[in-house]
This record gives sequence, structure tokens and C-alpha cells, in this order.
Amino acid sequence: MTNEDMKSKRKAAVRTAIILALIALAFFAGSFFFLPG
Amino acid sequence: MSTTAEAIHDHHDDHHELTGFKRWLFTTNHKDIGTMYLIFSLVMFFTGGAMAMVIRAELFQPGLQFVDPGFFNSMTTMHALIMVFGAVMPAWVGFANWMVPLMIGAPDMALPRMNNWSFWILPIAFGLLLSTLFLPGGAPAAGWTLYPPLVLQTGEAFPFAIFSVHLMGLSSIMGSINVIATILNMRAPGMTLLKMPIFVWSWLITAYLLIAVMPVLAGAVTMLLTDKYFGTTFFSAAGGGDPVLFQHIFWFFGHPEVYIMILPAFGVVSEILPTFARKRLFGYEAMVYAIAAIAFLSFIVWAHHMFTVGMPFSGEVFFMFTTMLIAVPTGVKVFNWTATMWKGSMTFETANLFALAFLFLFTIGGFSGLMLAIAPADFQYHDTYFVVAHFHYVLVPGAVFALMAATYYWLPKWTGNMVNETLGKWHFWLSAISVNVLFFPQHFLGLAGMPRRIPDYGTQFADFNMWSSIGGFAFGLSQLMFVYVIIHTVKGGAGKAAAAPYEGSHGLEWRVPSPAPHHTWEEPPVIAEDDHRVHS
Repeated sequence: MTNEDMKSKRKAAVRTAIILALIALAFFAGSFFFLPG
Repeated sequence: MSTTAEAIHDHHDDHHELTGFKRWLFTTNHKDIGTMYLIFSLVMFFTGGAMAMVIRAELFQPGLQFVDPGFFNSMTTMHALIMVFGAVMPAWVGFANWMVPLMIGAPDMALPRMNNWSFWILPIAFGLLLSTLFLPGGAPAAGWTLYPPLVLQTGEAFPFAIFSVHLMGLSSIMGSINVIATILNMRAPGMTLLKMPIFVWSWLITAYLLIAVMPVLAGAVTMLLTDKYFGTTFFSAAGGGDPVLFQHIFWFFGHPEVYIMILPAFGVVSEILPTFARKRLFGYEAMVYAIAAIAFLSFIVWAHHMFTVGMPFSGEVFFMFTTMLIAVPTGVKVFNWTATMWKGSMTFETANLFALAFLFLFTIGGFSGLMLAIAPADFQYHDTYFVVAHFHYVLVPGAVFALMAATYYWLPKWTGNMVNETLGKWHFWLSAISVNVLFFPQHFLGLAGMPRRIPDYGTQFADFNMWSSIGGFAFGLSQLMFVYVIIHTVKGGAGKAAAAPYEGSHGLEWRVPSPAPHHTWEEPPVIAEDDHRVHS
């Protein structure tokens, strides 16, 4: 695997991580609006 | 400049050259971090276990013997928090760290520095939590569910406990982001999603569950904190809030949490049984879909923990039936594990014995879960020792036995040495017998009406409690043997292990030498289109 391949994999991984962190934040915020019944 | 992945490794993994504590403090290597997670969880396992011994000693006979009721409640609360967040969850993250990169042909986790952080937050979190034992007012004592208004009576320990839960959540979320980012982006060429080992699949789905529910727990405890210190009334009826709201939020987290602890166990058992049956896993794709179905259903069953709180009839029926639906994908899994063994060339190494015990004993926990799912019957069982028996069957001979199976299975890969099977089997049989002596009588106690979380009880419950305590002490002592077997294996065990020490194993982790070198898959393996032997 070349250095470039590895760099692009890591870049994609960081993008995935940012999206997942935003999802986690959304669930955190959502818990304050949880109003069953 | 080198054109290989080694160049990348050089700038973040040169801490490998450091010695002593710094080597572990700054490491970004997935195997080092996996090892730290596993050792940490073992320490927490014994810490939480010591608290369980206090509980069982107090319950050995009726009357108050050793501790006052307040401290007893702290023990049940701390035991649960430590076992759930400090022992079982970090142990699975440790396995994910060690095995996922090896199994998918990746050189490391996708985000190695964050991986280091995820781990090192944990000792701080549990240091905070354990420090509450020494604070005025004592450690939290309202149960691991932290229900208000009771939990708001906690003394100075309260903010410590809340902050430690925040840190545990942060660590779990960072760990699961890393697992997903690794699995989605770092797989070797040709390793398509439906060629991944089931353990990797189980962790991918578990990580999504964690990302969805840990922030909800963080939100719930944040609201507790603001209710106590900042005058909000989220859970106080006096200010227009509702304490039952907390229970809904908590169990929206709490039920998926159960699957967070058990799905990786399903993955591990799906690796081990085919290996020692010397057959392919029966119904690989069905197993993947079953895990996904269980994960989905785990989000729509939470209120079965609250049947007695009071809810509309339609709500009770909805949560009863969705809960029962979980038996369908779980049944698919149990059927497929059985079919995997059918006509296989079975051998009974320690790892396989623990996996088989998991299959039988977890199923007992599953059945008692079905009994609890029946809303009208739950009114009888609720808050009794039947519930304690149920969830301990799911978590101890369930999740913990799977952790032990996984440890025995992969120890040769980690240490380069084979496990002494005689010692391992002693550990297995002592554990398997004592765990049943410990938890089976609790079903009868619960059905006879003994409530949970009490330090004293009527004399009619004395005999079963005595048996349960004897089983508890025996189970606790048996685990010293587990530590002995691990140390024995690290120091040489039963001889050197080959790269693939089991004839029935096929995953990529068995294609690297034993012990696995510090860096693996720097040149990723290429999986041919017709190579389906990369999963069990």
C-alpha cells in the first residue's frame, strides 16, 4: 500500500468520524426533547 | 521518503521505542491499546466482584451482619456501574482493538491517537467513581439506573458520579466512532462487507448502537445534574416535570445497552463454534441480519422495564409484543449455532466449552426474559430476585463466559503460547458449576417474592440465599484461576503456538504469526473474489 493510499484512507476515516460525532451530538440534543406520552 | 505504509507508522508508532510507563501512556498501537483495555477490564472485574462478595456475604443469612443498609445499597449500585461500564464494555472494546484490524487486514485502527484517548479517559472516570466511596455521604446508592428523585438525595458523591458517567460515555463514543471508521474505511482489498468475520459484523452494529444511545444517557444525567444544582425541574413534578420521564430516557439507553454487551458475544461464539466443529458457520448471512434485527428491535422495547410504572394499555401491549419479537432473530441465531455443530467433528477445548456453556446458559436467561416480557406476569416478577436471576444469566454465563471463551480462543495469537487445557478446563468446570449454584436459586427467591436491593429478608428465603452465596464465593474464587491461566500462558503455557493453531480456523488473524507482531498487515492481504474462507 502506498503512502498516498494510506493517506486517502485516513482522510475518509476522519470524514466518517466527523459524521458519526454529529450523529452522537444529535442524539444528545434529542434526549432533551424526549416527551413520550 | 518511503512509499509504504511504514512511513505513516513511523510518525505515530515510534512510541513503541519508549520504555516503561511512557510506552503505554503514549502508545497508538491497536494491540497495545487492546491489551490495556483488557487488563483494565480484568481489574474492574475483580473490583466489581469484590463488591458482589460483600453483597453475598451480607445476604448469606437473614439479619444485618456486616454492613449497614446504606453501604449495602452503595455496593449494589457501584457493583453494577463497574461491571457494566468498567468490566464488560471495555473488555469488548479491548477485543475490538486487538482483533478487528487483524481480521479485516488493516494495519491499525483508523484513528490511532483518538484510540489512545478513548482508553486513558477510562481510568480517570473510574478513579472518580471509586473515589466516591470515601466522600461524605458515601458512594451513590440509588441503583445503577439512577432514578430520581432518590438519586438526587446522593451526597457529595453526586457530581463525581455524574461526571464519571459522562467520561465513560465519551470514551465509549470515541471508541465506537473508531471501530466504525476502521471497518468502513480500512478493510483489505477484496474484503467486502459480506465477507467480514461475524465478530467484526457484530462490532460494527454494536458501535452504531453505542453512538445512538450513550449520548442519550449523557443527556439524562446532565438533566439530573441541572435539576440538582441549577434549579431546573426536568424530573420534578413540583416544577412541572416528571420523574417517569427519566425512566423513559434511561431505558431508551438502557435496553440497547444490554445488546451492546451481548452482540459482540454473539460474534465471538459465531467464530469459536465453527472452529471447533470444523465446519463453516451455518447461515452466515442470516446471522448478520439477525444481529441487525436484534439491534433495531432494541430501540423499540425500552418500556418493558417500566410496565408497573403505569402506561396506557396500548403501550403495554406494544412493548410486550416488540419484546417478544426479539425471540425471533435470537432463535435464528441459536438454531444456526446448533446447525453449525450438527454432524461436525467437535472437540472440546476450553474456548469451545465456554462457548457451549454460553449457548445453554444464555438461552436460560433469554427464556426468563420472555417470561418477564409478558406484561401481566411482570407485575408479579417486577423488582424481585427473578429479575436479578434473569439479567445475571444473560450477563455472566452470557457475556462474561463469551469474554472468557474469546480470551482462551485468541490467547495463542496474543502470546504465541498455547493454553494449558487441563488448567483451562478446571477453570471452566468450577465456573460453570458455581455460576449456576449462584444464580439459579435466585429464580426461586424471586418467584417466592423476595425483593431486589435489600440487605435483610424474611427467614423463608434463607436456604436459597445461603446456596446463592456459596455459589458466589466459589465463582469469585474460581476466577483467580482465570488470572493464573493467563499468566501461565504468557510465561510459556503449553508450548509455542503456530500461526493457525486450530485446524478449523480460517480468518485473516490466523494468517499472521503467533504472537502477532507489533505491526501487522502493513501490506494488506488481497482477498480473491472466490476466497470465502476469511470468515468462519
